[in-house]
Amino acid sequence: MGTTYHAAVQLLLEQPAVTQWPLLQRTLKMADGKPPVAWDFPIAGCLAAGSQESAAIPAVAAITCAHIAIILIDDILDEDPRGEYHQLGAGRTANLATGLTSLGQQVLDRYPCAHPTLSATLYARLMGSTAYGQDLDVQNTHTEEGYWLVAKAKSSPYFSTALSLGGLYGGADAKLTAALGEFGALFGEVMQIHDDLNDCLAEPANVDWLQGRAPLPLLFAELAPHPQQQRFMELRSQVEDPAALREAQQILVRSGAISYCVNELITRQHKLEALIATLPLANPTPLHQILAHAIAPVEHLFASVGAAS
Amino acid sequence: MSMQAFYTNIAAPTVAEQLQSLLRITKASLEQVQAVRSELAWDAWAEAK
Repeated sequence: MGTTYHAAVQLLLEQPAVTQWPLLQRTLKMADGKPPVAWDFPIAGCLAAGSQESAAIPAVAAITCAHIAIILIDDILDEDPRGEYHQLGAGRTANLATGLTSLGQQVLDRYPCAHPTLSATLYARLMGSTAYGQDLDVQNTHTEEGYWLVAKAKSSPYFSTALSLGGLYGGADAKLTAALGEFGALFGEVMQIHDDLNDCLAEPANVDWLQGRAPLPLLFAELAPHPQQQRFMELRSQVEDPAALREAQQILVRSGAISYCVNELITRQHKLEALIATLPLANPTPLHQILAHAIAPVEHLFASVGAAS
Repeated sequence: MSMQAFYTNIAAPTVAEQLQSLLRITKASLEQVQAVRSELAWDAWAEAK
């Protein structure tokens, strides 16, 4: 965690909206020690556009607010046992999320970039699209089309906005900002697939199994016409039994569900590489680093099974 | 798949290699796949979420 993140949280703590609200203050102080995923994407966008890390501080601050708000709500919707709402109650937690959403907007407004209307629009779209995606997600549609719709609506906007906001604060014009957003959106899909793979292979059975959800590997095993499809459907409801979970996970490997997800990751890796090559970036290194980190598990898996990557 | 797309696929050795690699994953043991999960980045992503 860098000093830029700490500086962003300090900036938030100084805001009048925070100093008057102890719960908001406490939440941000806790966040100071635990940066959100991709907290440094605004820095990557800012550096890629040719500016310095410190220029991204307001964008890091806004993205931090957005992330905490999204997780607070997501935990309520998912009935996550780690959720803050267990202590605060759903009502206060939802209210806190609204306060954080507003705080992010206020920081962007108070420390504007060269395109303040665009930054405000990007932030508003992030929160709106994620809310839509979260609502789609809880409806739990077990279709391929539904899966990608949720991934694009729920997972992509955060990464897309983090990168493009950082680009704006680094001096990117509207065209480069949009391209950075496109990179971030594709990366968001990569993250969703990683997350799904991680959850499906967990022991004991993750909530995705237990709540009858449809992360990508499970969806493949449910929908693709492989020889063990029927058996998989039988095991699906028995995964609290470790033996049933193990058999179901073995089917994920043998049926090609894991390979399918890896293929989806590789497809996006190639698109991301092609995108970087076309962008007029002052400094492409941060995007290459993001991509390398994202694809590392795939390369590791290929090496593990003795395959070329 | 169009003829153009089919030709592009068979003309690119990397596509065949990639399919072979994906096929090898289906022959892997669950333990091999889970080892990658716990050793490297899939867990790291989850932790950071």
